[in-house]
Amino acid sequence: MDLSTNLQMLAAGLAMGSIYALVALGFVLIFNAVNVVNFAQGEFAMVPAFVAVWLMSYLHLSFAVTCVITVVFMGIFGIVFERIAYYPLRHRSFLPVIISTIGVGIFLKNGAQIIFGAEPLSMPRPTPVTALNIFGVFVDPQYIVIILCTLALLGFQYFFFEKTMLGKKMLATAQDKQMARLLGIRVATMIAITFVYSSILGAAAGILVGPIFFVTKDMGAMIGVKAFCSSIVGGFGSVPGAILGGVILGVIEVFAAYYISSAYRDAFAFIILILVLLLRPQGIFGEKIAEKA
Amino acid sequence: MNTRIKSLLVPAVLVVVVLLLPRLITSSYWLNLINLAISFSVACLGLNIVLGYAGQLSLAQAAFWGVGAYTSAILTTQLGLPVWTGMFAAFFVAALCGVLLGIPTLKLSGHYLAMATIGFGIILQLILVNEIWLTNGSDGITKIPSPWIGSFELKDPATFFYVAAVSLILLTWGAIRLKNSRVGRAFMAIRENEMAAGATGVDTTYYKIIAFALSAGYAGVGGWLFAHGGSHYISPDTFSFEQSVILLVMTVLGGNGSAIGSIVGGTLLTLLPEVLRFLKDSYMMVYAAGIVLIMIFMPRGIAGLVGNLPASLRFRTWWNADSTAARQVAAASSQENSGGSRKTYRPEDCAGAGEVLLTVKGLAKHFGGLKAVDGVDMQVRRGEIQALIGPNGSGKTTILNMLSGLYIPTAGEISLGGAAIAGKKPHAITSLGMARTFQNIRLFGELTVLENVLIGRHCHSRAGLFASILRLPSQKAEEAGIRAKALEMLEFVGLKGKEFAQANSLPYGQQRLLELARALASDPQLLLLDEPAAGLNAAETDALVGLLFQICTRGVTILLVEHDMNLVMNVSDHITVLNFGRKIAEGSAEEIEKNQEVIDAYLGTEVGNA
Repeated sequence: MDLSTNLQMLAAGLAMGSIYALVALGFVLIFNAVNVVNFAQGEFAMVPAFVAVWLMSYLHLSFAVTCVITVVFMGIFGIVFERIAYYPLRHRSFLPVIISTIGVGIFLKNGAQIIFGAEPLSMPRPTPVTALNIFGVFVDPQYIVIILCTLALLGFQYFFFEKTMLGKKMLATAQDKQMARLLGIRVATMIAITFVYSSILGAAAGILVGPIFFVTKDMGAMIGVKAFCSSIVGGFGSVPGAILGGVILGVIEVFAAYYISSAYRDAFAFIILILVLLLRPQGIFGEKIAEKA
Repeated sequence: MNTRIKSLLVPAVLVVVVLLLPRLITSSYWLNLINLAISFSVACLGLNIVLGYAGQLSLAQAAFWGVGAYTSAILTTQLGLPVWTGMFAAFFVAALCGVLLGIPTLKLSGHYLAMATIGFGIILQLILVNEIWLTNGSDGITKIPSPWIGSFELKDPATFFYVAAVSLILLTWGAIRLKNSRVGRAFMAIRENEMAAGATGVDTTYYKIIAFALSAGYAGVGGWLFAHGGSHYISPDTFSFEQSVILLVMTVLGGNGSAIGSIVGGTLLTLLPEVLRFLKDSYMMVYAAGIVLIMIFMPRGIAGLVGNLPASLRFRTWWNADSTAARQVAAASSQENSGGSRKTYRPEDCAGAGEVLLTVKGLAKHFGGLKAVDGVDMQVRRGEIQALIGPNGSGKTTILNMLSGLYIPTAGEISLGGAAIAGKKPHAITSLGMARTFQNIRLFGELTVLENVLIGRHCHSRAGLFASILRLPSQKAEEAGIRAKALEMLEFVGLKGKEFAQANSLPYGQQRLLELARALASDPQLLLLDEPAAGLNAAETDALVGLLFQICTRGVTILLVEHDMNLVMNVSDHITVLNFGRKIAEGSAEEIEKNQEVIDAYLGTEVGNA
């Protein structure tokens, strides 16, 4: 096994890991804000992928315009999603909300199939098809784009939460809704913005991953559950944990598919999940926090 | 109407229906559909056990259904085993998968199981498609044999219907009986309040795994019915995530927690697509929209709607009128308060220097950098009422949480009657003789007052899964004993006559009393009370003081955390004062009232002058 193949796989793993990290971040932000796991999170990446394919292939819009429209679309999508799947159930226990997000997820999946058909679609690539030669290692330029875009988004997010008032308000809402409300923060708005941001992260994931794989109604489910695994591996509720967990899972998956079994590629994420739950259930960055009695 | 006729009524109706149905419906298309509905209903019954009873979300019910179908199909086609053996294998292999998946995930709460079950479904699909030697891959398994009785093959849909119907009836009977048993109550306690369930003596992890395994086993039997009836053909794509969601919708639509509801939901949604054929590809979308609408507008499903009808309420009253439980409650409440003439207790009655019951040495709990409790030593003597006081944030509740096992101490030793208990699980500590109440009341809100106290008796009873379902004589005797004790406790705290009220519906003061009764039902040596007087008015507080002395004279030692200084000074034999996680004083009420450090830190000058 030579070094350059391994490095190529590393690049692929990092790219896939970035996608998982983006979706996992969406999970974690929503979980921190409203204490609910959004089981339709993967669909947040599937929907924009279809929207982008449609804009580019049928309306022949340029890649940049497509990106803008898709992001705006997903922003509105986030609000609508919050109003339907979360808001009416906000005073109930976590179970009804989980079930309702599952319902919306299936609705979206089958809606996509009815609108766009069952055939996998391919998204036009914004990057050349020929592999880049970086010191003798051949890398798909799309991988580089994915990794760079993810880094840029993470930088933006860091700036947003650390340096802006809106970011601080959102953090305050996530910490303690009642206290935030007493301080005059519009909690419902902050929660809606969290959903919007989470679905914009999905938009980024969907547009970035689209050119590598075919766009299908099932792409979201697989990305979604693996992103969830990532967030548990990193430590559920932790932002750096979600990012690191995603990258770790993406890399392990690519290598395990090559060295162990490609037929069981999709199983490795869960095997890692089970191992983490057995050995270190709080994940890499998680702290064991007991419920207050 | 007497009980005997009542108990024969249901079986008689069922026998008539089962015998008549294949005569009335002769089309084998519809009979096959009914058999399919029964197969789904059995899987839904299982899902109802884990979701409806125990409150844990599984998204792999179709996968377990598939495990059952494939297990039996492989054993009967490849090894030629009898189909009936396949049924038991289907149950046990599916249940075993449930146990294996439950062990890592059910220690944790909520979302983990849901996600891990999705993962299990995906892995199962991969195995079914890739392990061709075993499963014949995507082509599936064909020519699965029918069951035989002697030399008679149950091949056509009408005869297979009998097999399916009998299985459904037996499994439903099991599920309903389970609900009203020690095991079923443990499940529901976990659903209602997992922390309180643990502190009341229920081993939450164990019972969650049992519920999950049983639910998987039910799904396995459902899969067996699917494999050996109908088309005698199975392939991987039947057992998809979508199918799991459909089973979930069936169960939730029927009514989360109602066994009959699961069957209604399962049957309705199997037959409905036949009527809704015009929906074609979009039927899955309609299902999905349905699930969201059910969650928003009818959270209790069909069973909830029916249950609120006046006719249904009357029927239930009539049906329960002379159940064993109702008769026992009636008998207890008709008794005169012969021995209950309220004696006046004085503090002296329960004082007395007993042996040391609880010893705490160097106990500490750090949350990150915060030292909530930092090296506390204390002792509680048998027969005393001891109070733990201090300003907010001084670590009182944290100590109670460590004593009762909710927190694992960072350092230190705790021994109860000589047994080291630091770091043990709450249920284990409860069965060693320590019970507690919570600062913010934690009842099993949707359950009745009586059920709440019955669960308090959990650690003194033994009936397991099979005894609970079969209602063996030993189990009946045990139930009667538990009920007697529970009724005694309800009378003791003054909640007689409220046995069948829903715990949520009680006023605040009575909820506190109920929590006390539940804790006392476990016959504790040491009772931990976390701010028992919080939110009570003056009269209720006075009544509480009387009750505390009475509890003490029953031989129960009390350790209480309380801010009401009148109450503390009034009842306590011994007081320990905390500040910033450290013990700053201890002694009798008089000593503490005069202690300058305590006055500075906590009591303030008014009390000091009083």
